[in-house]
Amino acid sequence: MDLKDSPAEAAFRQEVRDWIKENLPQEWQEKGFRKMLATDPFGAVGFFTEWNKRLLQKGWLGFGWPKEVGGGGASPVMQAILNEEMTRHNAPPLGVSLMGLGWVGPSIVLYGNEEQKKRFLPGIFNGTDQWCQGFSEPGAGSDLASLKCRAVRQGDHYLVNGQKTWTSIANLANWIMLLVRTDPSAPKRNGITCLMVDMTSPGITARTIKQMNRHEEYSEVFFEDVNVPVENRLGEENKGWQVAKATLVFERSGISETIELDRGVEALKKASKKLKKNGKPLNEDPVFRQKVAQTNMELRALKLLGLRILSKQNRGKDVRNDSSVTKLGRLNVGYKLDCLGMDLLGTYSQLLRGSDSVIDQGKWTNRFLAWPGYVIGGGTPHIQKNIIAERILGLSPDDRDEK
Amino acid sequence: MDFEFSSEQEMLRNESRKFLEKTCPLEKIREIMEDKKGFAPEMWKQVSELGWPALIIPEQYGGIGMSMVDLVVVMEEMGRALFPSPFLFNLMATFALLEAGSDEQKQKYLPAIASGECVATFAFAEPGDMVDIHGVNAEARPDGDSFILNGTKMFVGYAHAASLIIVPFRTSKNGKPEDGITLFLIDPQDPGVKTTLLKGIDLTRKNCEVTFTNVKVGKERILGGKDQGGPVFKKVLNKGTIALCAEMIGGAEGVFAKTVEYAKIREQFGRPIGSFQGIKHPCAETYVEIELAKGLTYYTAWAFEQDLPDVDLSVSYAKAAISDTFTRAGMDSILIHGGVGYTWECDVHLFLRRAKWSEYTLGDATYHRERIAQLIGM
Repeated sequence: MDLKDSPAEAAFRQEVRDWIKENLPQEWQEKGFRKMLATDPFGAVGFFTEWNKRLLQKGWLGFGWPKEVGGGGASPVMQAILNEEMTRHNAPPLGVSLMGLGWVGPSIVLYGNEEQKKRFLPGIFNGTDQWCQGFSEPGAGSDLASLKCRAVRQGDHYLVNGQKTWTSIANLANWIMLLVRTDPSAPKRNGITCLMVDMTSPGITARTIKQMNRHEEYSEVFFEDVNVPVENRLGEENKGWQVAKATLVFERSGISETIELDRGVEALKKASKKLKKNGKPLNEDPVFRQKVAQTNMELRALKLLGLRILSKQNRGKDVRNDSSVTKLGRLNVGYKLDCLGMDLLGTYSQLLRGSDSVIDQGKWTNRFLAWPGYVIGGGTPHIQKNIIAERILGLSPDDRDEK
Repeated sequence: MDFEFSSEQEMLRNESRKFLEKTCPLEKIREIMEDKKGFAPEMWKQVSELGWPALIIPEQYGGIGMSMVDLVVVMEEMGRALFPSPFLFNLMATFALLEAGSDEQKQKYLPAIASGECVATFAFAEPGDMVDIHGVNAEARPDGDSFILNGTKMFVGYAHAASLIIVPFRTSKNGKPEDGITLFLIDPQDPGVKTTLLKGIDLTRKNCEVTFTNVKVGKERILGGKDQGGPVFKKVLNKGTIALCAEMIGGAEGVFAKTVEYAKIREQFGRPIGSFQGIKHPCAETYVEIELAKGLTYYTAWAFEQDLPDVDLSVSYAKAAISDTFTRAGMDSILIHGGVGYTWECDVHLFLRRAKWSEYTLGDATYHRERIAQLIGM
């Protein structure tokens, strides 16, 4: 057991830090992508494009992808170091085509034929294609396998009809990885096919969903008699469920996410020395101190759990179920943090950005209102707990409809 | 970076677990519970043959010279098996000797502890329930070359069975609380020392009140230097707390395993109760809590080995986490066992009792959270 960087890890970490120093201007490190985008959208997008060109040249885009397909072939620990240093320095996202690099691409790498890999992977690396995932439907959320969007084989193409929902960035994407039902008579997981669909195809309309916090980051996508060539099928017909579940060995420690939460705790500590309750600064309030200490401790525990999972993964062990554990832990901590931030402000937490008298641009309140999106997406806590109970602890499934 | 145990440590874990399953099943523990001694001397002998009391002692003093992480592995197994023994307190006395003893003192006491011949203990609490050096108020008055000791120590583990008790007394009242503390090597048979066995919630360990009435001891009984005991006391408490945390993690896992096992076999409404989400979800939550607590303890053990400066904070993180978690795992287990869980014969309440004792010993979650708040600069 040794939690220090090995010499190779330390050298790589230094290499990343040096490269960031050379390639990421100080202003970007201080403000971060979102702020730069808000103050100078044109300049920020220009820099972002250049940044990703350099990352691609350096071999750090798709760092965890196999070398044979143009990736870096990096071990989980090395991936984690890259992600951690980038997050620590407030770097812009690694990749223009984030959905492609993180979610859709792996399925193409593992199940695509040579022609498909040649056709789709360059656009993912270059950022010239934006991908989205057409998975959830109004009637198929937690029970995704019950999806109904229908694809009927008609010779050299499939005819697709149906609706998807909660499709992230569909309004910006030119390609969609679509899960469709090709065999309604088979058990639900055995009748699904994965299709890659051009979003400019006739018959596709996307409509953004207005979230409870007014943002519009997801869309409903409607398919009316959409023609999808058979060459765009990923993997075999009716084998789409496995294709969609395909993952490369991406590091799943969740460590980088804890850096952002760390910053939240620091901001909380700082603010608590100024803001008062009952005439005393909150950092002197014993109850508040207890709550901050608890949150800080849980965050530390999360980081160490991440390192344990990373170690396990680095030794080639399967950690897919472990990500349910970190997700649950991380979102619990995130929620506590947001609530503490609002507690700090008390009645002033009602004020939103743009209002007179608002404190800190209402950021704690904004985070609180955004939180349900993070916790529901990718599996609600109830689903995560089912996964942990059934797949890790071995408790038997309910008599829910598994057919 | 590698946060996994080595293959030797995994072997140590497996051997320890097998030994305890065979030698100390719960039926045996129930016998030991009824005995005033609170441990089985034949078992202590076997455990000494395995080298457990010698584990952390350097080879030059008759020990095996293993590490804090190795120790954590073994303590976890002891906790999982609910092993009744003076080990934890013996360990704290060992830490004190290693930290403060002169070479002569180490040569005198450590080999006998390593062989299991001498059972030692460490007095870390007084009436008034103060966890740390602020709670050392029993006094040692100089009397020529000797000292006269007066005061009361509470919750001294296995003092009634020990041949050596290491006790902090206040030898000076000037300056900060951590200055002016001296550690003394006490024989329970010393005139004026009275040991009273207490009756406690944890049926698998024995605690005593030890009173000192004009106990006269020579200066050779000082462990380390006069007025130098404060920093040693702190270190002993820190290390003892991590050992306790490891034992608690094992205990939480031990009782949790029983919960999951019961949920799989107990059927109601035509199916195993574990197939209901009302049972699944608390189980999943406890699993997550235990996994989170583990890393905090393992890291701290490693941090001790590396002599890292953040040890105080790390200890508090670990104890705060497992204190709440072990109790929750224990009580949830009783509830999930239903009526059967509430019976004397069901073993689960033994774990809950251990959890509650452990929760308050060496600082509960509230105490450690306040320490965290201070150390992170609130």
